[in-house]
Amino acid sequence: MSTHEAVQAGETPSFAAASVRARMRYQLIATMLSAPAIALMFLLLIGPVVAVLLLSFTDWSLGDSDFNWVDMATYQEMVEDDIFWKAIANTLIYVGIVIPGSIILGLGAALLIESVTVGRSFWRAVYFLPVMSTLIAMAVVWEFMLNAKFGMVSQVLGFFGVEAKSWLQEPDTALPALCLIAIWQALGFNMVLFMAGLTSIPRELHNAAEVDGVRSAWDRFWLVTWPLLTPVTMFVAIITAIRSFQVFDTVHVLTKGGPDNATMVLVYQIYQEGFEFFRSSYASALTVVFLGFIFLLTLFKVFVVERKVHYQ
Amino acid sequence: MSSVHIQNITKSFGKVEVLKDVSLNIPDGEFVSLVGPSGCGKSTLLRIIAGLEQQSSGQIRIDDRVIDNVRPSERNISMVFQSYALYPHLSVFDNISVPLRMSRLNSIQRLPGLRHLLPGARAVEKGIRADVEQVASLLDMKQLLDRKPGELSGGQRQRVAVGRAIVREPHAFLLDEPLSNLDAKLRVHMRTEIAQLHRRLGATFIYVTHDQAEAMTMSDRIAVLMDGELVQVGSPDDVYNEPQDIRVAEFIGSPRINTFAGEIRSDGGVDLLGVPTGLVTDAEAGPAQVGLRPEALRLVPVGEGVFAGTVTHIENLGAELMVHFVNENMERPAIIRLDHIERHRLDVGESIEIDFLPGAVRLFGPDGARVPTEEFMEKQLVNA
Ligand SMILES: Nc1ncnc2c1ncn2[C@@H]1O[C@H](COP(=O)(O)OP(=O)(O)O)[C@@H](O)[C@H]1O
Ligand SMILES: [Mg+2]
Repeated sequence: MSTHEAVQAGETPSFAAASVRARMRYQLIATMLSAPAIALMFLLLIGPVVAVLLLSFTDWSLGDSDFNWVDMATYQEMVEDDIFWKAIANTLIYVGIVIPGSIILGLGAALLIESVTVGRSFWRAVYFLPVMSTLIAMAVVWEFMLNAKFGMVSQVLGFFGVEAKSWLQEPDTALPALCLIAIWQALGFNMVLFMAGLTSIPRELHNAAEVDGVRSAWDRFWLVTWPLLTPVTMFVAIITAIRSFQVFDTVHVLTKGGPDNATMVLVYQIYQEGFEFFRSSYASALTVVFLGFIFLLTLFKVFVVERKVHYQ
Repeated sequence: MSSVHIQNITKSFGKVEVLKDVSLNIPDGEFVSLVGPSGCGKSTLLRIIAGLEQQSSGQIRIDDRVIDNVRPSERNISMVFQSYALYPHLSVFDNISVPLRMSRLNSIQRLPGLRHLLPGARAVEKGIRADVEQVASLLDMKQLLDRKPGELSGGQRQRVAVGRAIVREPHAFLLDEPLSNLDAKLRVHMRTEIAQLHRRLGATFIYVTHDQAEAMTMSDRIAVLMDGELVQVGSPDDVYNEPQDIRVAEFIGSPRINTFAGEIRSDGGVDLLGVPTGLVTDAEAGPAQVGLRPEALRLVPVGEGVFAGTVTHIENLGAELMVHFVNENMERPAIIRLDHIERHRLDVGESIEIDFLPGAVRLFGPDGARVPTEEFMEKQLVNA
C-alpha cells in the first residue's frame, strides 16, 4: 500500500504496522469464535457426504470388518445395472408428472378458493388435510381406494367404462398411481403457498387491469396473476421437485418397487441395496448420484430462481 | 370526450356511511378537483365512477348513458392510481400498450408470444407501437420505453401511469392523488405539466387530492368533500373568497384562515372578540364565528387598531412574512400576512395593533354555515 493510499484509507503510515497486527488479532478471534460452528458443520453436514463418497470407492458391506479400495468398480457396476437406469427413469417420470400436476391443481384450487366468498377457511382446511396427515397412514386408505374390486377409483372409472384393475399391481399403472397419490398430497401444501402469493398481489393491480379493459378472468390471469406469481411458482416447483426426488414411503408401503421394477425409484433402490442386500458401497454410489441431482436443483434455485424472478 | 354526471350517490361500508348524497355534474372537457381531508371519501367516489366499487344508491351517467351496471372494463374511463399500479413485470412500452392491446387484439392474439407471430396481430401491433411512441414523446419519456417500472424514479413511474391513461381516448380521466408520492419540488412541477396536458387534450379530468394547493392551481372547478358530503363546488376563486362553510374556509388556503369568536347582537350587528365589525346581518342573534384570511388583516400604528395582540412567532418566507399573534380573548394564535416591504421592525413578544376591512369578514353561524352580512357605516362602528 502506498503512503497515499494508506492515508486515503484513513490510516497514517506510522500506524500501518500496528493496524496490520490489530487486524490479524481480529481475524484470529473471529476464527476462534466461529470454530465450534465450523467444526460441527464439517462433522454433521460435510463429513457424512464425504464418508459416503469415500465409501462408494470401496467394496465394503455392512458388517464387514475390512474393506478394499476398488476405484470406480462400483460405478462401473452401476452403469451396467438395468435396475439403476430403470430407477433413474422412473424417478424422473415421477418428478416430471408430480411437479406440473401439483402446481396446476394447487394453483387452480387456490384461485377457486380465493374466488368464493363463503367457506374459504373450510375449503382451505380440507385441501390441507393430506399435508398434515402422515403418508404412511394415508397409504392404507389409498391401497383401499385403488383396490380392483371395491376401490373407489375402480368404481368411478368403471362408471365411465374403464375396466377395473389392481392399479398398484399392474406395471402400466403402478407408477401413475403413485404419482396420483403424491399430487394428492402435495396439492394442499402448494395451494397454501399459492394463496399466500395471491394475497400479496396488490388489489390496485387487478383494478388497473379492469380499467385498462381486461374483461375475462383468462386475460387477467395472464396479464397480472400468473406473472406476479412467478416467484412463488418457482419456489413451489423447487420444493416439489426436491420432495418428489425423495419419494420413498409410498413405494415402500404400497409396491416395494414392483411390479417388475415398474415403481423402482432412486431412494428405494438405495434402501434396498443398503438395508436389504447390505451392499453399502453400492448404496453409497447411488446416494452420490442422488446427491448430485439435489445439488443440481440447488444450483438452479440459486442461479436462476433467486436471480431472475424478483421484480423491483 | 364526455360529460360525467354524478347523481345522489351514497355509499356505505357496513354501517359506516362514507358518501352521503353526492351530486355533481361535470361538463365535457372540464378539470374538476375533488378535494378534502384524508378519509373523506374521495377515492371511494372515484372508484364508484370507475366502476371498481358499487354505490349503495344513486346514479352515474356518462353523457346520457347510465353506466351503473357497466363493468369497469366497458366504461372506457382511464384511471391513474395513487400507487400508479404499473405492471411490474412489463416494460414501460408494454405497460402503456395494455389498454390498446386489450381493445385492438382478440383474446387469442393477446396470448404471450402470439402477437408477434400471427400476421393479423403483427399489423395491429405496429399501430400500437406508433401510438405508444406518440404518447411517450408527448410525455418526454421515449428513452424509458424499454425499462421496467422497478428501474424508474417516482416521477418517471407517475409519467408512465399517466401515459397508460392517455394512450387511448377515454370518456374521462380519473386521477387519484397522482402527485402525493413525489417530493415537493417535483410535485409543483408536475402540477403545471398535468394542467398543460389537460389543456392540450381538452378532456374531462376528475382529479382527487387532499392538497388544496393542487386543487387551487390546476382546476376549473373545485368540489370540496367533507365527511362524505359535497359541501361546496365552485371555481378556485369562488371557493377561496366565498366559502359557504367554515370547514371549506379552513381547508382552502394556506396559511389557514383565522377564526375568531364572534357574536350576532340582537340588533343584527356583528361583533368580533367583543368589538363591533361594522357589519350587520339578518341572522338570528347568538354566538358565531368570524373568519378573516391572513392577508385581510392589517398592521396599524398604535391607537388606530380594532384589537391588539402580542407577536408569538414570525415566519419569514422571503417575499412575505407570516406574523403569529395572540391576545387574551383568542383561543389560538392568529396570523397576519405582511408583504416584504411592510416588514416593520417586528420582534417576538412585541405588542401590535390590528385592523381589517369589514368587506373581508366571512361570518359563519354556530352550525358552520356561512351567514350573509352587509356593511353598515363602517368607520363609526369600528371606532365606537
Ligand atoms: N373497502 C372498504 N371497506 C371498508 N371501509 C372502506 C373501504 N374503502 C374505504 N373505506 C373507508 O371509507 C372512508 C373513505 O375512504 P377513502 O375514499 O379512501 O378516503 P380518501 O380517499 O378521501 O382518503 C375511510 O374511512 C375508509 O376507511
Ligand atoms: Mg384516497
